[in-house]
Amino acid sequence: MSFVIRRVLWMVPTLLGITLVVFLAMHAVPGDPGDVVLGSDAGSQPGGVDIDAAAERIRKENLLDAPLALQYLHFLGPFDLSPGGHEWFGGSGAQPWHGILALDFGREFQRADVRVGAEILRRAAVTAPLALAAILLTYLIAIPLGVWSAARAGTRRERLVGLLLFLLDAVPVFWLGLLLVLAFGATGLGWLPVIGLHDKDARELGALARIVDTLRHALLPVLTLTLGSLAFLSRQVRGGVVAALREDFVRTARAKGVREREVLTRHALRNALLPVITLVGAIFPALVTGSIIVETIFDIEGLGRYAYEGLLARDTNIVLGTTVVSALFTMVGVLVSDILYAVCDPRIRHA
Amino acid sequence: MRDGADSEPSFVSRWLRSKSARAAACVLVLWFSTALFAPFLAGDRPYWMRAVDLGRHEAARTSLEAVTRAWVALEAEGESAWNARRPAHVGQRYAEALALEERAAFVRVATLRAALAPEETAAARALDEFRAAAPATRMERATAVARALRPHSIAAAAGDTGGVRLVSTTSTPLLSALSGVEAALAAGWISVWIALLVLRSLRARIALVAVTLITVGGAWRPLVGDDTQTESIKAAIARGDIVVESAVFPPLPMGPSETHMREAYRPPTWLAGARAASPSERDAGFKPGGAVQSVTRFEPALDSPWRHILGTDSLGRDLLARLIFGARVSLFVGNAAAVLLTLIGILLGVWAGRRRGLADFVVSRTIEVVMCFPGFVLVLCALFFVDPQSAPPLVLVALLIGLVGWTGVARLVRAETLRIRELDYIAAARAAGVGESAILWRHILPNAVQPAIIAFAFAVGAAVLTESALSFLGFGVQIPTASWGALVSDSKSADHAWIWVVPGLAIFSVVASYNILGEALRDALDPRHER
Repeated sequence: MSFVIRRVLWMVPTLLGITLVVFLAMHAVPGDPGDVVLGSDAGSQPGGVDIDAAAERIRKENLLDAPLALQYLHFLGPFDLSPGGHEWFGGSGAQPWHGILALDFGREFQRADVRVGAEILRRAAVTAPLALAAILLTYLIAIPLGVWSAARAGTRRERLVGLLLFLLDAVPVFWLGLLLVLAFGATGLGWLPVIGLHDKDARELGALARIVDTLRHALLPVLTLTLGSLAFLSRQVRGGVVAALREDFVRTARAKGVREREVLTRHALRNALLPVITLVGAIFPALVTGSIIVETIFDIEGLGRYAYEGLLARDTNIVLGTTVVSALFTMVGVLVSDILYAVCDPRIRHA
Repeated sequence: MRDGADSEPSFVSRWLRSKSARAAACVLVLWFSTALFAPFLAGDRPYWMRAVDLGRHEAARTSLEAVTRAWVALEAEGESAWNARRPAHVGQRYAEALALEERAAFVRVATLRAALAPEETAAARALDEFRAAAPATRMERATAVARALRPHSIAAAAGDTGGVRLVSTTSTPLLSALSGVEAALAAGWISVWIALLVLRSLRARIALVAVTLITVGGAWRPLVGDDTQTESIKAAIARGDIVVESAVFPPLPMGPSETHMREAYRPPTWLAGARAASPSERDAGFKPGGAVQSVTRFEPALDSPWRHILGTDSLGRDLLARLIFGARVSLFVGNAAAVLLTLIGILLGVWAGRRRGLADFVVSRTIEVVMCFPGFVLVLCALFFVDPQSAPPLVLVALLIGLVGWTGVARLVRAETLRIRELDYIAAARAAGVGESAILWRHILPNAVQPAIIAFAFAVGAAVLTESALSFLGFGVQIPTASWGALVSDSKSADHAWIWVVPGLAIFSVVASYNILGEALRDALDPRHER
């Protein structure tokens, strides 16, 4: 238990470091975000007055004129330090909470009525199931594949599969996605839809039909994400099982007449599985990258796409929000896998 | 590996022992050659051209009077008046200003003379008189030159008789447009192969390559002249500004940014659409009702299926040319980023592993923080918010990928350093009185660096993938520079699959080759490693 507490406590400085890096990266740019975002198009868009007002609002809400340290505290939260913020800091109390700790990243620059935090939650509800499904599918394919490869290590068929997985590692994810679209979309076999997560008329469908519809839409994006990290994971499984098969306890098991299948699953796999579980954390960053690309290709309104839209709109609030949230996801992923590891393997807890 | 000439060939042969490693090495050599010699393979500038440059002649002839007028006026103004008029921040002196005007006039005279046929003695005399003219008569002479040197063809077009006859001059537009760095790298690449085939000792090989790089890089511009005009020569030929006698164009006579709007989305040679019978038929296939665009005789005919072997993109740019030039971006960014991240990783890893204590703590925590980041997202953000003027985008992308990606190497090197420093031979060296810095440089570093060298090969592949993904999203190098990732993103539609299938294959071939070579390197360096 104390291990878990220690591990969670360690997250605090790590998180601080992450937010500091993100924050400084955003603010190290010449000129301030307010100008970058709005100044350049102020004249070109109709209703320049509105844009000036919007710029003013953004500068005020994000404390862009305040010293950097104060901006960082504002960004960190949980108190809103702007004039409209918490009463303790001289604000009007209209909007008391702000920042990462309050899971609030201010409002979007262009759509003033949309709060970035709420929008992130809405988008994450789309991305998270896709990512989880991809992780599950990756493990479901990688573990049997890895065990099979380890058991058949060195045979011609295994080497062919190994080569294919090795080559899969070198395929750009976006290209893979496009190839899948080409193969299964309307121009190819025509089996699966390739745009969005729902049909246009999904609302009119019955409950069961709607689920089928969503699954059909989600299949290609999930498959793309899965193929992106499949090679890495199955190679790890294979390596672990091969190493375990050389251990003494396997020899003992074989010597006492345990069947080969049992040796593989009961003895070798169980021991090899531990380090593989912790790799969930390592897959997360790849998933974040993958979701940006996959959601762009398949036109899905998810978190990755939101980050992309924020970048295109030069909206610092969106970019900061999505970056911090994705880093948070990754950290929680690492944490969960560490705890899992400790739960499974008592030696870690006492190390 | 460190002993130089004797063990080095055996290391390479151990490294490239397997067939796949040799194939990968060949693929990379091909891509490197393609990237370094890209302007020689594709482009609209001929290697060698014998032509009358009417456009240039006319530009010199018609501007001579204006230039002379400015020169004469400056002379008439005199030094004191000029000094009084000159703004404070202009550092130029009167004599310098005068020399500049004089040069501008005489450069035009030289241009005019170069193309003049030998029998045109009257025109030559007019030029000589202009050169020798006193300031008072100079303007008059300039007008006389402009009148006397009107080309025959221009005069005939205006319905007049007379005019001077021009002769062809020889030029090497491709070589003169090449920058010193490009030339040095291309020559250096050749010298590497000469060194490998001819020379035996490592030191001589390095010396040959270094000397080639430095001399070619330094002497290129002074030797071949300074022709940085970017105007398309083919366009000038089509307009009639350049009348070509003979020219040798690159095998693919099209530049990477050259647009052929009427040929947008032209399918590649192997697809049926490329083989339509007549130009009008094919043209109608691409753009309904479009007229046939004029083509110079130096590029394949409009109706030839071999005109655009890989097809064209949405702007009618030749995809093969873009693929060839895109190799430069991918290979540069991949290698530069990998070098950077490997260096950072080695530095921090050795430092943390040797010092331990606070240094180790700081480095390890930093690694942990950076590893939590989806590095791609960070690079994406930074690229978008950094002022694009601050550095060339190519360098910026490489820099950012390097700055984000060093953690893996640092972890490997740190662990290796920690392991090595506890080994007996370090203790023995210390007991024998070897200094700490010598232990670091001689005993720890060469061994701890080994995993970093293997990681380097994989890092190049990863950086190429990252760059292509960035370009795919539109955040990499800026248009119109061709990059493989950007080529893929030009059309994501399945209807124009030829646009993105081939660049994707190119990315794949480079990344796979680096990975295979990395794997082979691991086998060669670290026999204990279990495959």
